[in-house]
Amino acid sequence: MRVLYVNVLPYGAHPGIDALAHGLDHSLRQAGMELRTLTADVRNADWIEKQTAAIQRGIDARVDGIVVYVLDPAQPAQAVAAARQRGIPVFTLERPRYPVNASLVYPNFNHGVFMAEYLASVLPPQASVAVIGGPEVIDDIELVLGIVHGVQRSGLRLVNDPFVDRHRNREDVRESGRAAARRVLADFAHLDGLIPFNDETMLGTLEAIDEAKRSGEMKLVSRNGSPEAVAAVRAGRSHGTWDIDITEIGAAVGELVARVHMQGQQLEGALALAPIGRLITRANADTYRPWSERVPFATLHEGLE
Amino acid sequence: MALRVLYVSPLAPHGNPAIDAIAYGLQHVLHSAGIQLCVLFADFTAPDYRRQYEDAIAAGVAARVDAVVIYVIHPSVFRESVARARAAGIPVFSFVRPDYPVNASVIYPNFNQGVFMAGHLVALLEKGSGVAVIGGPQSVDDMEEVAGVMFALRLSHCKLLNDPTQTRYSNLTDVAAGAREPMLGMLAEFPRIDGLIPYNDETMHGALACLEEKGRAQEARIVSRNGSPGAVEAVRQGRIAGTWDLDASGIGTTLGDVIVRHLTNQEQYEQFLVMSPVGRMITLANIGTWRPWSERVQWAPLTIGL
Repeated sequence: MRVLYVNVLPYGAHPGIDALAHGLDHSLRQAGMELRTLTADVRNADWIEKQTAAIQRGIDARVDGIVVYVLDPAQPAQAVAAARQRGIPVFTLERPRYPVNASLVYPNFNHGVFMAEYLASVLPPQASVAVIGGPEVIDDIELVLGIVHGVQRSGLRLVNDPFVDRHRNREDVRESGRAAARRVLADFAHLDGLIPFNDETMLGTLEAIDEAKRSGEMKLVSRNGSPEAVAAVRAGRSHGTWDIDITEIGAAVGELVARVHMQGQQLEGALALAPIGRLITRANADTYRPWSERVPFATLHEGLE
Repeated sequence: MALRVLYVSPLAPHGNPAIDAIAYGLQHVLHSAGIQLCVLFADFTAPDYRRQYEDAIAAGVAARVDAVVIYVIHPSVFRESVARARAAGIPVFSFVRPDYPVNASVIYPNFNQGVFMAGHLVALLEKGSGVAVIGGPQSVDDMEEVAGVMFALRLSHCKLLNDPTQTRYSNLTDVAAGAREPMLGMLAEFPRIDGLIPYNDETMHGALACLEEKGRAQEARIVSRNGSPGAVEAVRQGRIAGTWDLDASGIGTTLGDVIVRHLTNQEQYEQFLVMSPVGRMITLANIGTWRPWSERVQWAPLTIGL
């Protein structure tokens, strides 16, 4: 049984996205299924067309299930409908506005609140905090909304709007994170805290901080729990990274697929929730296990053959 | 001797069916593991609520219960009471996460639920429709839910008519009667309301009474949150378009499972987080699959007092 996952970034571009795919791959293997991946790089303007084409290739290849990462809740509605009409169940990471068999949703807002509350616990009241926002995709928008909610609820002083382009990393990778951090640092002569929305952005931010010779000025917290971010925590350069347990996110989608194919459940519009995760700080960094030790990182099968 | 857990509930029995169901769910799991649950109440709408709640925790410490369960309305309150309990060697667990250390907390996906509720409603409405929202108390979970509702409405083809974070548009009491003032105010302010989202089912019941009183019961499509039996009945009657069943008894069982693992030494939790079920929308289309909370767990009478 073959399941197609339409990946959103090429392998190696984003450790979290890679780890998610490995979690899915492992979960499907355990259930006796095989994963196939096709990639539609969301950094390209034609990603929706590429995503649609990948789904069509899956339909033509008569795969047994399709997993889609929903970035725009309205897309790719027609391609998904076509797959379902052919009897191919469709599963999504995040919930779209069109019908699918099942979706895994993330507690993004909760993550953001908890990240901000942790930062507040290590800063004085009314400390100045900036936030670097992310791409215009559901999970990152909800995360940043949670961060803003948490910052405001915690009595910190939010100095910027992370939804304006100047203070966003729209590309979701380290290089553009560094560029966004340069702009934020240029706009604020002093910051007590800084929340880059994800670890890749945080790693770029550390480079920008070094360039600006402002190391040690501000406390940082970010999301994902990537190995490099944990190393930054251990080195005292970041104060925390929210480990979203991303291999388990992939595994949870695999379990939804297995419920349909292995347990014969008829899922229609079903929802499941991703794990909440936990904050990794210097205090508990010794309990952190790298993603690659949580599931086997077997080579992913790109293509449908 | 059997282990004994104290739960300090934030509302008296029958004030809000979801709050009741949480307690029954918690009790169900504890009883299944041979652990006794004792319940004390401290109504969060009462003027001396904080003192009552702190006294209840202190009573649990004095009675040497084996664990204390709190419901976090405001994330910073009860810090000292909880710290005293933990210093006495009594683990503390919470519904909703406070901003001080406890052994474990169950977290609600409130924002997600708000987004999904609003998404369901706007799918029933035409472009430009006006949607009013009745907010709730200034509690963590209700504020997050309302934030999700507002976010989804602002992204939608509908128009958000009011700011539900303002007190005049909020039901600060969490029970049906508290909906009357904000709902009557909105009916006076807005000549037409195409969609209405009372933040919870109890508020929905209070709002429906106002709509009927003013002869505007047919005007608005309505969704609310909780999935309480009364709200499901309103769905069945076609009076509302849906209620988000947050699986209240499942929230209780989720924390109960954590407590059992901790008290039976399968795990030793410290600041552990676990998500409650995401739930689902109950509509006329799937109402046949809905099971009352009282059929999901055993509703044995609660033991009130220590």
